[in-house]
Amino acid sequence: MKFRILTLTLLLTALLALPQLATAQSKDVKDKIDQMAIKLEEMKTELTLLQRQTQTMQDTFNKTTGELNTLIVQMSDNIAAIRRAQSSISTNSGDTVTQVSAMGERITATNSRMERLSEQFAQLRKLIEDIPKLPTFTQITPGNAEQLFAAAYSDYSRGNYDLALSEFKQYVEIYGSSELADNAQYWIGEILYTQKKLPEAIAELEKVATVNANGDKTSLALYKRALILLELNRKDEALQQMLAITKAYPTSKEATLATQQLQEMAPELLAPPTPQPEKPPVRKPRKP
Amino acid sequence: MKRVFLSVGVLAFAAMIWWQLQPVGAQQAQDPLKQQIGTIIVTPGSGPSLAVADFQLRAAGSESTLATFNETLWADLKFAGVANLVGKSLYPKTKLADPATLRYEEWANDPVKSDYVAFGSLTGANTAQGFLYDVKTQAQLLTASLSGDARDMAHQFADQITKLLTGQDGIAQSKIAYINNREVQLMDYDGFGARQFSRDGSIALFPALSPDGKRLAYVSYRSGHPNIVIRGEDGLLIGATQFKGTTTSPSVAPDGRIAFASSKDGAAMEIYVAESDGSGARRLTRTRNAVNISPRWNPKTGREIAFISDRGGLPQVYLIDAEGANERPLLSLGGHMDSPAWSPDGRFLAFTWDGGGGGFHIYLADVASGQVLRLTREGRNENPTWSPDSRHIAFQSNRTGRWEIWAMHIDGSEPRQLTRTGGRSPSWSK
Repeated sequence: MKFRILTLTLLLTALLALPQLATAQSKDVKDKIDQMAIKLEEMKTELTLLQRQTQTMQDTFNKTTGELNTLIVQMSDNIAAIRRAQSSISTNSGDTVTQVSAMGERITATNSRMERLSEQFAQLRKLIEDIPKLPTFTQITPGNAEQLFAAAYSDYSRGNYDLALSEFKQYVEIYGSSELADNAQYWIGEILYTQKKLPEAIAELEKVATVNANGDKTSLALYKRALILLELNRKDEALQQMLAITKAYPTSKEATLATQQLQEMAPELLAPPTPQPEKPPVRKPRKP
Repeated sequence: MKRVFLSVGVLAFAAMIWWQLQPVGAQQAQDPLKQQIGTIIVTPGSGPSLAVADFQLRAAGSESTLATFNETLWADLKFAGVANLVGKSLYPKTKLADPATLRYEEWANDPVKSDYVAFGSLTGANTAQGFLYDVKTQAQLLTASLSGDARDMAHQFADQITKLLTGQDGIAQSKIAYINNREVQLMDYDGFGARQFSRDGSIALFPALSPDGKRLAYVSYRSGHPNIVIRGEDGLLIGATQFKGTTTSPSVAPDGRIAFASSKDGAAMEIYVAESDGSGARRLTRTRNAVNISPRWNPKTGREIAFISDRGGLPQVYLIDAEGANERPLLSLGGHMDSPAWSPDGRFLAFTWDGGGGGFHIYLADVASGQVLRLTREGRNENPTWSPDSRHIAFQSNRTGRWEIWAMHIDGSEPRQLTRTGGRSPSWSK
């Protein structure tokens, strides 16, 4: 009996203690949930921060890339401007001083930025220097007209037509009043002829006389123009051009060549004018 | 990855601009011709170094083939002048026949200190396999399957190495035409494999190979008068001129047209241009009491012809274009000038000159600047002709007591005798 009472008492006690235990366990779980929620919030915050940092880094990278591109464009402009300034030194020193001064300020700003890249550039330069040596293009000193002409002709000789064309054009543009300007203009036409750009070649050869009407290339340019007209099947224009050469430059080699062509193609153009028989004066009948 | 490429591209472009901004004097100083020429041929200390290990035998009984192969390959690469060859006495003792036995450090470090190593093996009587490795980066650059006789295979491999190192075609498989025993002969570029080309049974002179090596023009007396004969590389007749005067010194343009000198009208020697079969000859020069000879096309443009004329009193070099216009002096050095030869890249003109009274020697001129460099000093030297890569010149010389064909680097170095039984008027082409 005692045993039963004791058992019942214990059971009752246990039943009374259960809610307390359940409450305690529930509290623990709740605490844990709260802690997890806090941690989740912290992680969310950290994630947001990371996202912001990533965005900031992306913005910085984009900005840097943009600046670098802008810097390159500026440097490219500066180089072009420097070259223009150097070229015009020989013809207009007054303007050049101003230009060079302005360029100097820009170069100073550019140089400070360039220093940051110099180390990487040095590495790249070493790589370039290590390439096995091969024949190189002629180097040109700005302001040296003779060297520019020689380089242009060298490039023509070596079949580098586009490069030669730009160099001869540069020569005419910068040294338009020099003795070789008409030669350079002739070579522009000759290169275009070689490249089979016939209408353009005609236009450029016509300019030779404009550059220097008394130059030694004028009759040659006109003769080449006539040959191109023949290639374009503009025979009448070609023959008239050749005839004009024989009259305007009778002692030139091109006059001989033009005469030869005319003899083959239109000898009648070379024939001296047939003298007309002199007609007796017509006497008007006197009025009565 | 895209950003990496962008960054590298930006850096490379910026480097290019930086190079442009270097001080004018440092970048654009005008070098003498000798210095410019010196950059074309690799000299000790100036370019990459190449070790050429002897090829090994995979099949027995080909020892003589192996020896010929190794000697030819070495000679080809030495004369190519595209890399410094490391002496074989410095090589490791281990035989190197295939990539599995290649120990990079043995070739990259002292005493070899090579940038590249070429090696391989003969896999049969007429087959071989060659390799080229960059021993510093440990990269395989070339693997070549070769076939033919020993000399052919060596030439093929040498040309492939040259192409890889310079980007230019090699010359080891090129040929030279020349005159011996009154007939046109052909030989390999190194003097081996000589064979008779013309069989006219008369007198043959002044052979001229076309730039592509597919046809050959020369002067023949077979018609009773000296005329130009044009034949294909197979020897078949393409055409000939039929003049009664003296016709001489042909030159073949890239498009096949033939320039030559002739007194066909009974007048002085003048320059003519004819179609590729010798027909339709058109006179370009018109001089009185002058001799115009030795026309040579600019092989690069096919538009200009250099020739010799004594119209000013002494034989000097003049230029004229293919239409007969734009005639002008190119080189006026005084003395006696002869046999101009335009380099295939159009940049240089080699010619014979007596230096104003001294013996005849080979000289080189930069066409654009007119700068001149003397290349030979021994004996009498004439008739220069260019290798297809514009890096070497062959010529005739009597330095041994008889006219023989010789070849040298563009700077005059490494002269080597090609013929042993006589030879004149060389013409070098692909």
